[in-house]
Amino acid sequence: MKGTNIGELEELVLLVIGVLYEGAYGVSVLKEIKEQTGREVNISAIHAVMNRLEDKGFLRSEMGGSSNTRGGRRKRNYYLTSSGRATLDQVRSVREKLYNQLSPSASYNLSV
Amino acid sequence: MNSKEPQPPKWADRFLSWYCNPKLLEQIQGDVHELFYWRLEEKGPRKAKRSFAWDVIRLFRWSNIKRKSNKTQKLNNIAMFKNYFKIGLRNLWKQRMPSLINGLGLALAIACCLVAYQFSIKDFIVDKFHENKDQIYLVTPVHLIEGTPRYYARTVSDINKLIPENVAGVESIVRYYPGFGGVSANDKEFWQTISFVDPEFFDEFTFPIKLGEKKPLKERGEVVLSESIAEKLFDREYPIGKTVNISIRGIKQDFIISAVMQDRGHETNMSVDIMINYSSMPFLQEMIGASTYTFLSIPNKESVQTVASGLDKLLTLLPEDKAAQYRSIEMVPFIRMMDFGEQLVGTFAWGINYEGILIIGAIALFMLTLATFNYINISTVMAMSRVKEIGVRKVVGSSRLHIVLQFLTENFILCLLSVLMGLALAKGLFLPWFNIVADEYFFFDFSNPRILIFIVSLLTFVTLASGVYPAYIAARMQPTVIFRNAGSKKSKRRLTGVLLTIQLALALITLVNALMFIYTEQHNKRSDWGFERSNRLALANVSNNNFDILRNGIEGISGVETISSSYGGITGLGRFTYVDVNNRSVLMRIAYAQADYAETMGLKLLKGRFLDDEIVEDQSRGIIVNETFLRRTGLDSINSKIAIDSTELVVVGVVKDYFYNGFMSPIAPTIIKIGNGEDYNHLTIKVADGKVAEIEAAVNKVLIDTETTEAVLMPMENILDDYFIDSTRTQNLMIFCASVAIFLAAMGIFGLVSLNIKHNIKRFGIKKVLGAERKHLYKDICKPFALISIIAFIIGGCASVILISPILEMAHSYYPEFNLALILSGILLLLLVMVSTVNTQVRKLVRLNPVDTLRNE
Repeated sequence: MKGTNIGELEELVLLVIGVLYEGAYGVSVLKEIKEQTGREVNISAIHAVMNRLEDKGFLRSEMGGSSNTRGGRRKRNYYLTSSGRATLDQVRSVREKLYNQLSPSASYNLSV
Repeated sequence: MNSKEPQPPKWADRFLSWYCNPKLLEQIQGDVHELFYWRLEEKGPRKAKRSFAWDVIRLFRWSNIKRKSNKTQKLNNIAMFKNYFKIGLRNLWKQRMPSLINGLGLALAIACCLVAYQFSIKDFIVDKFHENKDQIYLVTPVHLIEGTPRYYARTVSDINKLIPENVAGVESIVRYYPGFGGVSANDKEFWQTISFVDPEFFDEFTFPIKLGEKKPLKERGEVVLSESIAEKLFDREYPIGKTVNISIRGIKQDFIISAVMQDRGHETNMSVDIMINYSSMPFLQEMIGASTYTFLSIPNKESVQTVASGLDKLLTLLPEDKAAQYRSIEMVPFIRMMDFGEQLVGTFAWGINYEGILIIGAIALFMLTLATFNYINISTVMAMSRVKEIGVRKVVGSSRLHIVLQFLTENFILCLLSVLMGLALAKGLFLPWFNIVADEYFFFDFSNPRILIFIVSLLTFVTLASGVYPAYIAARMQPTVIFRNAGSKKSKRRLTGVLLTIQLALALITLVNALMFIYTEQHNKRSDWGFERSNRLALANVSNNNFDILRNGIEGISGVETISSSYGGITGLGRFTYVDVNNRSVLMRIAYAQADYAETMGLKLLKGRFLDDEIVEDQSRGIIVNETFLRRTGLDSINSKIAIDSTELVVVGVVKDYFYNGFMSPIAPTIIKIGNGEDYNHLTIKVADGKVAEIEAAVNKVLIDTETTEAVLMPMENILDDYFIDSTRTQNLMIFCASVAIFLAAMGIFGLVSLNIKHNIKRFGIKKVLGAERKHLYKDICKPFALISIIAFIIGGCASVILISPILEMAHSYYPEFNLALILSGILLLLLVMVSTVNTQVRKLVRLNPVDTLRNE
């Protein structure tokens, strides 16, 4: 049984797929991440992450229609599932809870 | 699709489709392609390509790789090849005519290649089949001739006698003396090479024995025959135990056949037709004593050095006057005799004939090129008639590779047939013919893997060389283009034109070359040889002891005008010696002869006078020289002085250059000098007008009466026959080349024309309906060839001017000026062949009823 915890890149991909809503597939996710965060992720990493997320039940996928840009090849579209959405919410709340407990002077100690 | 637009690297794309799980392939491939085109716009083609490859490599991970090899697909592949074969055979049958032309052309070339192969390897495999070949050494006494050491292949008996007791480390000594003799048995009688050998001969040299004893000749009175001689004497009878009578130098003796060995043909340099033991005939001992090939068997590698030093010490054991003739006694490995070639004086291994291999190899390669060009041209056109098939296959999902594979498989079938046909052609026709022309004994030994390897590699080469281009052309076609306008096949194939041009040009070159060789031979036969050939007889190789008796006998014949003795070849080939001219050393030829030799030969005097017996000075110092002598030495007048070994000589006369040795090698500077009477062994006989035949018969009678057997008598007219036999051989080879080249070119044109007519049969039908006549049809068909022929003739003509002189130079030193008329007649001949080839097709077209071609649609 796969764990329900997700990593940083997984969270990012999950978020982006949520943002893209209908038109999420490998290349669009890659481009969106680059635009929004400036990070260049390899397509193979994206495929791997999306497969993993699908296995965990956070994503659902189906083959879409063909288009000219890909030499007539169909793409696989990904959608956020409700458990995926719930995971994102949970991650956010955990993060916010922790963030709020952060002492304002915490960063000064580091520079000593 | 615009081919200029950059595409993702093919290898990476193929790699991806190869490893990727088919279920994931579509999305992954789609993604990387989309990324590629995106990057193409953002970052340019180079970066996009690199990133594409990198993506593909990164995607090569466990989750994406297909894990189970697809067995059904493999089975399917085998079935596919079966289908290719079936379709290939059907296609061959459907397009019989062009296939036959292709196959026949290729078979011709392959047969040439096989003969060339057999010829080329000969010098490298000769005598390499003996099991003990590495331990056999040939004794080579070294003489010091005119300051340079010369290795002799033969040894005299004085030395041979010393070896057993004085040289350690030698297992056995085998002497071999190739001679001549008469053989008779079973009412048949003929002359044959007979070799005299030591009883141990078959211990060291492993000639395969077919019948009888495995190690024969141990006893006296035994004889070993080769298979072909045994067959000649006894047909199919079992020869072992039969008696053969052998006569050598008039002495006859009976021998019992103890073994028959397989013919080795070109694989040995030794004469092994008939072999007998030395001790069988007492006088042989004495005869071979003069000079014989002596082989030492040294099984122990370490003792080679001991033997070498032992041999060198033999000099001290020889009587002083004999030892003075030698500088040293050495030995060379038997297997290296071919490498030394004629560096060993009197060798029986003539050395590796690199020039011949080069010429024959070039001819074979040239034929193969021509045939392959033909093949490519015709099969490209043939492929064009199958565009729809290709289109359907592509639409159903074949990749280019599949189509290429299909075409190569079909090509392989035809090439295989051609190779088989070529083998039959070579074995049945070319090789026997080549054996006659080149005076050789080649045969194919298919039990040897060497030739099988050659055939297989030739097949592979031919299949690929001839098949790749048509297959590529077929695979490149776009299905959409094929189906959109399936009717028109307008696409220009420039390569076809280029190949045809090259083919025609080469055909022209070989044709002009052959014409030039014929012309040269005729010219040389008719031209002035520098000496008189009519009314003269030559008697060569008279042994010294009955020379005078013979000469007196001939002088007594009525009709003999003058007779002159000389030494060293009928035309006074003489000896080569260094001569001092103004303190410069020049190598020249000296013919020793009687004073009236030059006059009897009919040499043409340019300056001064002939030698005269009456003048005392001429006896010792007077010489006649040829023109080349003057040119080479820079002397230009008579009474010039030169020196041989510090003896001063005076030029008394100059004669015109004469072709003493044919036109093969350049004329050497020549001196004619009165020689020592005891050395003379040749006679030049001048006879009364028109009496050559009569006196030839009379002299022959004298020869029989005096029992002179070695001497050769011939009219002076035939003195250069040896040269002309050689030159006719070369000429025939060139004619053969030209015929094959023209034949191939004609077949190429024939194939192209017939395919052209077949593809456009409707068009021709319509033309005929509209009233086209013979000349219109001619024009239509010949048009595509006109420009090609003109270019080919210009190229071929120019190339022959440049190329032919060096080729002639290899065979002749003297040849007539190159002639423009030859090129023109070559072009004319080629045109004639081309027109008659086209004519066969046009005639068919003229007879054709247009109704037949236009009816069914």
